[in-house]
Amino acid sequence: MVKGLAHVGNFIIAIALIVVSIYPVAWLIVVSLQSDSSAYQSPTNWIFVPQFGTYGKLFADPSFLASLANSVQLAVIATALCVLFGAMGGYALSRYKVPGATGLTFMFALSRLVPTFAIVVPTFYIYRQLNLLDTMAGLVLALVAFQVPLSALIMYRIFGGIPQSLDEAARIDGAGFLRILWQVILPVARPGLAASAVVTFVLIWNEFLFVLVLAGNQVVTIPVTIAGFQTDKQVLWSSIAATSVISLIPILLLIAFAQRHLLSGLGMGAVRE
Amino acid sequence: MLVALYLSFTDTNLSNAVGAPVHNVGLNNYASVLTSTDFSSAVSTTCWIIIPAVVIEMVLGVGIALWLNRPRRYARGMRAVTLLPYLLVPVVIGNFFRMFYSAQFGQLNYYLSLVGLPAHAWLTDPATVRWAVVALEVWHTTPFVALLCLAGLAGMSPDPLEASMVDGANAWQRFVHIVLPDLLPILGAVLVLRAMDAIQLFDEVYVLTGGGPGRLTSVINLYLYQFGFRQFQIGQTSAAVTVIVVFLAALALIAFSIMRSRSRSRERNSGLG
Amino acid sequence: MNRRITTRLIAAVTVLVAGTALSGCAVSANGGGSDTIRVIAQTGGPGTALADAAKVWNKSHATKVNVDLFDYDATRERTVLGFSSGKNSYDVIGMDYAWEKQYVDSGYLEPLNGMVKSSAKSIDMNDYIQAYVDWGTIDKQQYALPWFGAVYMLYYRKDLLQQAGVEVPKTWDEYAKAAQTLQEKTGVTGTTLIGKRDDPLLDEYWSIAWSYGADITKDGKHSSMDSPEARQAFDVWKKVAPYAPGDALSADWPAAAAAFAEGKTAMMINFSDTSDSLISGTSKVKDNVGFAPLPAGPTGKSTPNLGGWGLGVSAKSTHRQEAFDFVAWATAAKQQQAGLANGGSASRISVLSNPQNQAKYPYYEAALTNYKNAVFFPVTSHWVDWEAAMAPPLSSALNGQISTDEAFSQSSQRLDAEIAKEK
Repeated sequence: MVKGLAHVGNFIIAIALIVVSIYPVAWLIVVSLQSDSSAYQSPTNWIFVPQFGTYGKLFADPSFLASLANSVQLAVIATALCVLFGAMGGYALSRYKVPGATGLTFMFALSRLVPTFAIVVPTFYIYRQLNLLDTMAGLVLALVAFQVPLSALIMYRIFGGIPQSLDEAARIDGAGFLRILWQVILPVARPGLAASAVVTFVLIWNEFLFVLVLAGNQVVTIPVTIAGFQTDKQVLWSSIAATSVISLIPILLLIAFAQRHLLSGLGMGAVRE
Repeated sequence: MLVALYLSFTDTNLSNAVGAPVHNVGLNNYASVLTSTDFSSAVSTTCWIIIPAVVIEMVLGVGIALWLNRPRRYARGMRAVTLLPYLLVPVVIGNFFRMFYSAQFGQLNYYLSLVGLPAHAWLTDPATVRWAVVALEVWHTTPFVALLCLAGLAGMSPDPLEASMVDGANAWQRFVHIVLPDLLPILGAVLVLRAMDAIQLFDEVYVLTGGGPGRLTSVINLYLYQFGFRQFQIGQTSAAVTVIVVFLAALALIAFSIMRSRSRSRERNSGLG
Repeated sequence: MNRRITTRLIAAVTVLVAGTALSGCAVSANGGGSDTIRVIAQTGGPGTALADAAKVWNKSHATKVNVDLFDYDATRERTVLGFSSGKNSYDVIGMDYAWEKQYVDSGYLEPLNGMVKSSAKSIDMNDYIQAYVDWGTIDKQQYALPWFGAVYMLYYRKDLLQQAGVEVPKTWDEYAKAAQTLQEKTGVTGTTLIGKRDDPLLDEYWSIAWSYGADITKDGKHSSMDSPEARQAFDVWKKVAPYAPGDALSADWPAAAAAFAEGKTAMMINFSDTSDSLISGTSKVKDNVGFAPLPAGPTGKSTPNLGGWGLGVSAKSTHRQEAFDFVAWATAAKQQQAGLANGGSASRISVLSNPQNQAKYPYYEAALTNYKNAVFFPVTSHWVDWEAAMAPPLSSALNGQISTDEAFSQSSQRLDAEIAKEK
């Protein structure tokens, strides 16, 4: 009897979780397959004949394809660099008594606290001078600079959880700093790397403000494209929804790919305080 | 940041002519920021929104993580599904919720009408608009909390739990005496991460309410956007940023030292290096 | 050197590199060719039309035009940031007229009188809607040519008005009463109310308040908002509120237009360039939309708010004449006519009064009347600051957080404080 109740309870929790999590995404899918005005239907028109016109239009639009390509390029390069520099910085912080390391770690944390607006405007000025506005290199640079502290912090925790005896054994064998990092530590830390890569990727993929200010028309990414579907005259709901659905796919693929590492990786970083 | 500090003592306004004289105004910017009702209301609004949001997220996140952590069929699928809200582009989330809460087209009002509740103007009523933002934020970020907690739980040793089961402890006793103490460090880390991120709240609110009605949802970042980006009063904005960063840094420093002293005492107690 | 020190050094350097993240990376030049005229303007229908016009231009002109489109706010952000960093790369500057004074004061814009005069025949300044020519003139200098037009007007559902036996309202009192009657008799929400902070709210409020004789400032030096007329107009607005959708305080122009197009409200006041979306596409009220001049106030005047954008020429441009030639060409009647199909919104009388166009776009006639009556916001360098000062108290008063009296005294004080700061 009690067991039966528990089953029902579990079932209800499961359904509730699924509905709450999926509802907006389902709504977006439904709207993306209908006209703009379907967004205003209440109750939502859940049963309908799907029209793929919006997707067709988007994929026939060179500027949309360009922004998709930009997003992929930006997220992949910037994430790779973040993980790379994050690993190096995090390792250094966790292993060596760098002068002022505690202060530096604190500064890393602090840099996440500064309101984004306070960072974006000075960056715009510097970029003006360096001719980096509206370039992919500029965007990568800005996002890497903005996200590396977080990666380094996560890495710092992860490496801290790996016993120093591993390094020492390697050092006795004559390995240098980079070799120890590459051949001894990183393989052990792989789940952590994967997890931090996923978190970083999601953050960069969805980044809005930096791209809005630092990119012109050449290197616009998906979130900015989405915002552009909403003008002060009308809201192109169907296009917004379709683009959101499309933009979810790479993230979902990545997570499906990395799910095995995600939990154990984040666990490595977070459990150690 | 040093540039910002310098600017905060000047009357710099980006929309002035190039080369227009910039005056040193001493502490005037600080005086006008600290006495401005817009600033104080932005600070109190931010607290009003992020404190409930973070508290609710933490409670829900831990609950969901505990629930997901038990071995179950479809557990992996459920984990992936519950992560969905964290992956959506914030601008889209804001747009979705705007439609969801809408008094005319609102799906929320429709579902309420099914159970006999009257329609409500969620985003206009001063009593509900902030809670509407809180709910959005909770929906968006609870998965992140749950994921990190889940990672922490996954890294735990099952032995004490099994021992306590043998001792006949009930679920609540097991949670309070065994799971929670183990989870505390990770909860601390999650709390800090979330609190830092919540302060950056912008995209969603900008789309949802634009800060209105009145100033009820003008969070700090909206205030800075208004001053720095629409009015280009960089001098005053820099002063506001400095005030905020100093305040947050102080908070962070306190949190940091508490965490350090705790982890040190824990290390001593457990006798590990 | 001791190995340990070396490793420490490497570690320190790594941290530094990771922390400050490699500033001073490769510099890639991307300025666009020097023979290109670069245009910055707003996205949306008129933007699309402008980009299409540029393609036509590029076929027959040696100097190519490149149009960059951004959101409303982003257009201004980029322009101001670009000029203030001393490296603006745009030759043609698209702007909401409300920003023009600041652009002029900060030296962004080239005075156009000379160029207008020398090509007066082909431009035909008299054909532009007069209000835009006036708005674009500062200290007797023309700084922008009218690009696209938008003016407040009254929309109504012909079928519902007939059903309820309501006449098209001519005054704001009639309008408030009509909203009530329509809602009671047809069950459809009476009208829309655009109350989102900041500019949406102010645009609609002042469209009403001016016709009551209220003013934001009479002399440009003091607020004159705390006046009985301003409060009287606000009371009408509050009288309408119960017959408007519940989310009026978060409604902006597209939200109101969507409500009307979905058949959820019986009337609407909104900018004229939302009209196309009401009479085409998926609009549910396509065949039943009526268009009218905005109702009048006790002064007997109808005072619709004027929106719309102009195109100016950058004072820093190296080919100002070519840039001006493109602006004159793109805003001429021929290009405006061609742009209509792409979502353009005409700023020329000849296009708006063309009978064929009027048949196709039935709102042109009412729009012309509204353009004639149109009022624009005070010309000030600090308009955006003024908006931010005025709007929040009015928004608070609309949902009853504070009283109307409080709202206007606060609003007025804030505006005065803002003006005082500017000196």
